[in-house]
Amino acid sequence: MSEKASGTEIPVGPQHPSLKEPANFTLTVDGEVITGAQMKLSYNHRGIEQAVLSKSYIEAIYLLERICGICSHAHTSAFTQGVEELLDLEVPPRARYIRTLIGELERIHSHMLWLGVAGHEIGFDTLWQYAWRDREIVMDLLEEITGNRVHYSINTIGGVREDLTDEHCETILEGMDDLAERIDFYQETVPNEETVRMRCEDVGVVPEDLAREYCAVGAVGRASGVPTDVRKDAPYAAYDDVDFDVITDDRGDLLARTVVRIGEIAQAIRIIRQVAKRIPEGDLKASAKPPQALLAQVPEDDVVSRYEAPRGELIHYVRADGTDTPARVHIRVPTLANWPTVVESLKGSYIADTPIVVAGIDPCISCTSRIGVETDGNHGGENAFDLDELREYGIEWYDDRSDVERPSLDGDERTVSGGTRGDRA
Amino acid sequence: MSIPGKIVPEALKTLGKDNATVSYPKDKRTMPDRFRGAVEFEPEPCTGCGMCERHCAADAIVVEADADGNVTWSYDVAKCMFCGQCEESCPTDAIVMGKEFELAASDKPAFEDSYTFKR
Amino acid sequence: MSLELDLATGLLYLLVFPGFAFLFVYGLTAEYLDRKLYARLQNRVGPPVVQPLADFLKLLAKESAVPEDATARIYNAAPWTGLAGVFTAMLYVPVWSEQAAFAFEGDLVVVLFLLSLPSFSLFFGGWYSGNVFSRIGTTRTITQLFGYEIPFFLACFAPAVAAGTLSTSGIVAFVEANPLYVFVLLPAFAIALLSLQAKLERIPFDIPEAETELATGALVEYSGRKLALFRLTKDVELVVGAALLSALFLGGPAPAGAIEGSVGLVAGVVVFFVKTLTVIALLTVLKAVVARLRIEQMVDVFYRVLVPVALVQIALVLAVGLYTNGVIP
Repeated sequence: MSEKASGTEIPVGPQHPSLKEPANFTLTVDGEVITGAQMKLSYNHRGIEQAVLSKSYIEAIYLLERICGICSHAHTSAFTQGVEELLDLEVPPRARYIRTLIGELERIHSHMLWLGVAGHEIGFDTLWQYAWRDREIVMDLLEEITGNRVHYSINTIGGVREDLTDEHCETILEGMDDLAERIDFYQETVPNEETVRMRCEDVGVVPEDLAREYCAVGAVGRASGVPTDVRKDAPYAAYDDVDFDVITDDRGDLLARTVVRIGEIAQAIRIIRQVAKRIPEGDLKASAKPPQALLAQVPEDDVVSRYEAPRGELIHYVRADGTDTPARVHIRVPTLANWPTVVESLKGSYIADTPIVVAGIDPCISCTSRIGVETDGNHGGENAFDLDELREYGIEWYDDRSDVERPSLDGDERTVSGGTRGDRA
Repeated sequence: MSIPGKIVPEALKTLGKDNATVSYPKDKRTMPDRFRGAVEFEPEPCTGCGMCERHCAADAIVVEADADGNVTWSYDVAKCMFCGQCEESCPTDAIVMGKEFELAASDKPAFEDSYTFKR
Repeated sequence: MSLELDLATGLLYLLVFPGFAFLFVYGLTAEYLDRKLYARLQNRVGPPVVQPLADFLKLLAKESAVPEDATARIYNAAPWTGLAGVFTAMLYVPVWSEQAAFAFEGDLVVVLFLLSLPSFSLFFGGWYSGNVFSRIGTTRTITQLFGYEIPFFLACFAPAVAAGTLSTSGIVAFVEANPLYVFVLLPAFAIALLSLQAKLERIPFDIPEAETELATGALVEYSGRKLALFRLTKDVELVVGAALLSALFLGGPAPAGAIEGSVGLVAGVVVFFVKTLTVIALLTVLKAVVARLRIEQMVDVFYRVLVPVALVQIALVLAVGLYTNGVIP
């Protein structure tokens, strides 16, 4: 602990019970009030953007699906939509409806998960348990339709892999009836529970101008009165065929985000009911060709694909070089767009509010932890490393800490650095 | 109106509810028809085309052919991520996603499965 | 009564009932019932009966580390002082009859003081463990202590004012004789319940240990045997607090207190269990239905709402007393 004139510094994370994933905040506090906040991201470089380059477009779907355990459908949809645009494929209506259905079921499951996490962060464990129990309705439906609770693997290039039967539609409608009842309960109780109000009202406020300045996306933006929603702004899948409202709120605090998210679940139920009732007949895939034949046709081009993930706008950039593997895939996840608002809204809050303010944007750190390493050193700021500099930095790091065991390059043998340097450069 | 303890009626109602979970090793849920468990392979229809290997993002399937026309199809369930693309890509339905999901084992060879057959 | 017999009953009180052995068993049972009810309210399965004991034994078997930055002596002694405090407090709370194991005029003050000891032991243990989370947790423990102690004392003095005595046993005898006072004292009972919840650092007042904010606060560095003692202290404190509340506000062993002989003894113990478990159940339901407050909100609620209510309660008790004595018609 270091005592400074400005106050005490508290490290939050990278390992901390309120953050299940690695992220670090250094909070400067004066008593219980936070006077300054700094954040560090990317403790865990997953290298997934690099790994995609070694896989064909078909394999890349399943790899990208594993970026996130919550919005897996969002990533595959964004990616396949991009590749379909490259190939100039027209996805049949039935497939577009099924993508919409899975996407909305996923939105419900993500928002219910968030509601539970938010409850836990403010010490309301009962809400947490109820929300997660009721979330199982959706998880069971997803497993029934796609064969898996989390990684649905239903998207493929040009359409979907599994069809929706009439029995499925009925089970979905029944499930939605049960869920609608539960959502009414949450809409009635959660914003009206006095202790929840005390913890969430006027906490973590992001005013509209700040939300616009920092380009906040998803529920965070909408709760601050910015009606951004890719489903309305640039409809994909079947969103131009279904009726739904974009829920907004102008208070910009955590209560507004809670209300917006619960409202979005209600809208998702509305969309799912429409899809289950009037899904058109037809093919599931744009082309009957085997996947390998499709991959051979990918032209040399690039594409940007947008998708409204549960957490906000998700962007996939794909550059194709005419082979069956992509030349570059870059992903801008919604969490990355929302982090700056967290740092701003932490300042002036109480320490006790840290977990709920951080959780308030529904952060997905596994999505965000994908730092890029500049290999040519041409662009990037002064903190950019090329590979040689990175190696040099690593060697110096170990030399400065003579008590740390240095991993040996060859075999299992490990040597303790005795202060000699540069032998591996 | 907002009051503390808004969920008291719901909480008291919950007292009478059954457990939300099943007592796992004793009771098990039935898996839905489309559940994707460990891959099941049938050598008879396999032509050894290698499409499954080519489309396996996790490199869990390896198909090798020797000079005598013997095909070796091997599968490592520990690497598999159960996406089901191999089933989708297989032109002869030699691969089916099974229902088996209790796949833990303490020795590595138990994860590996291999078939050698003449083509 | 001979000196030997006196000593023997004293030791019996101290070590078996209502002392160490009884409190140990009942504390762990209360923890089980609390956890089970909490789980059922949340639609969870909850722990098996032996879980609290298993947790306790497991912790005993584990290494009990002392951090390098800690002031070892205070850090090691802290768990014992709190535990000793709550065990001693129970001896002055009536269990099977209106008479406690030991009693003297003014023992209520001693009980209230002894019940504050666990908070202080938590403070010293946490502060001297040299961890930043612990220090914030202990600051909150003390802030919270100032928040709830005054309403708690005021609430506990309401029946004392009514009975005209500061002896717990005397208050029990008085409420037993005038059972309608249970209704007069309901507001004080509610305040005492909330204060006890805050004393035990349970939701909505688990601010000092707030798992998601401070990673259990003062107890961050504690492990093994010492952690086991802190947890046992919490369990016993729950039981003693519930026993104190049932004695002060619910008439203790009434209506079984009037029965003579060993039947009365058994009936008194049964009534004790029913009343304390009711108090514990109320605390558990409270824990299940609200979110955690912030420290300044907690102090705000106690000072702005509960202190005035407690003062009105004492005025009410005085008025009722004057009325029943015929001073005011």
